[in-house]
Amino acid sequence: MDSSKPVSTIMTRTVVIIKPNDPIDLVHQLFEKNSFHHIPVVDHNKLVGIVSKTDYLKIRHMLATTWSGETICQDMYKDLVVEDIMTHEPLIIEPADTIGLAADIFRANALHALPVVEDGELVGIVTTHDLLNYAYQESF
Amino acid sequence: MDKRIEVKHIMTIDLITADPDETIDAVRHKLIANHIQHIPVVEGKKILGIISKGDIHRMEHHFTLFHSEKALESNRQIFSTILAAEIMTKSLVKLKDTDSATIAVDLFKENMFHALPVVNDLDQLVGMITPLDLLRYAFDEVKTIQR
Repeated sequence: MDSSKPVSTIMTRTVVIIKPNDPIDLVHQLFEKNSFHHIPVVDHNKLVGIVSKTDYLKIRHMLATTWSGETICQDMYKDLVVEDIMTHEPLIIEPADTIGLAADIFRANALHALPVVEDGELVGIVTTHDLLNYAYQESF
Repeated sequence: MDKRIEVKHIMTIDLITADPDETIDAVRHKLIANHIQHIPVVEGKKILGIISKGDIHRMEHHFTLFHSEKALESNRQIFSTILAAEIMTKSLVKLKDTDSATIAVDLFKENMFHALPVVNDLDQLVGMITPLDLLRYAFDEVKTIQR
C-alpha cells in the first residue's frame, strides 16, 4: 500500500450537495434515501459547510427538548435551514494531499468524512470507507 | 501490513459496558463521559445488545414530540425509568475474534454499522472494532515500515 498517493485517486467525485438556505427537511429526506452520513454544503460553487447525520439528529433532539408540544416543534423545524445546523468551515483536504494525511486527520479528529477542495471549490469527498477499501482491498 | 490479520489484534479491548437493567439516563452519561458512540449491553460476558448515541437521540426526539407536554421534565422522568434492555438493538452482527480484518471492512462498507462487537469461541464479548481501529492498524503499520 502506498500512503503517499494523492487522495484524488480514491475520493468519490460525484457528491450529493445541498445549499445553505435549503430547508432542513431536505437533509432529512437525503439521509433517509441514501446510505451516506455526510452532505457538503455549497454556495456558488464554494464549500461553506458540512452536515453529518449526527448533527442532524442532535438538532432534532434539541428542538424537541427545548420546545414542548408537537405543533411548535414542527413549526421550528420548518423554519430551520441547512445553514443553521451545518458545521461551518469544516476540516478539508486538497486533492493532491496524500492518503496518509487523510488517515492522520481521520484518526486525530475521530472524523469519518473530509470534503476535498481545490481553490475553494468542492471536487469530491473522501471517507474512512474509501481509505479502508484502499488499504484492505487493493494492497498486497 | 497483513490485511488478513485477526481482528483480536486490532480491536479495542478496554470496553465500557452497560447492564440490561441500567436506565437510559445512566447509559447516556456513560456515552458522554467516555466520548464513545456505542455501548454494548452485557450480562456477565455475554453481549445482549448494543446502544448507539444515535439510538438515544432518536428516542429522545420521539418521546418528546408525541408523548409530552412539558418536554424536558417528561424526558427526564422517562429516561430514568426506561432500561437499556428495552431500547438496545438485539439483532446483532458479531465478529469472531479470529475473523480477518477484511471481513470487518466488508461489513463496514455496507454503512449500516459503525462499531461491531467481537466475541470468542464461547460467544463471550472480548472487544469492539470500529473503522478507526482498522485505519489505525493499516496506516500506523505503514508508517512503522517506512521509518
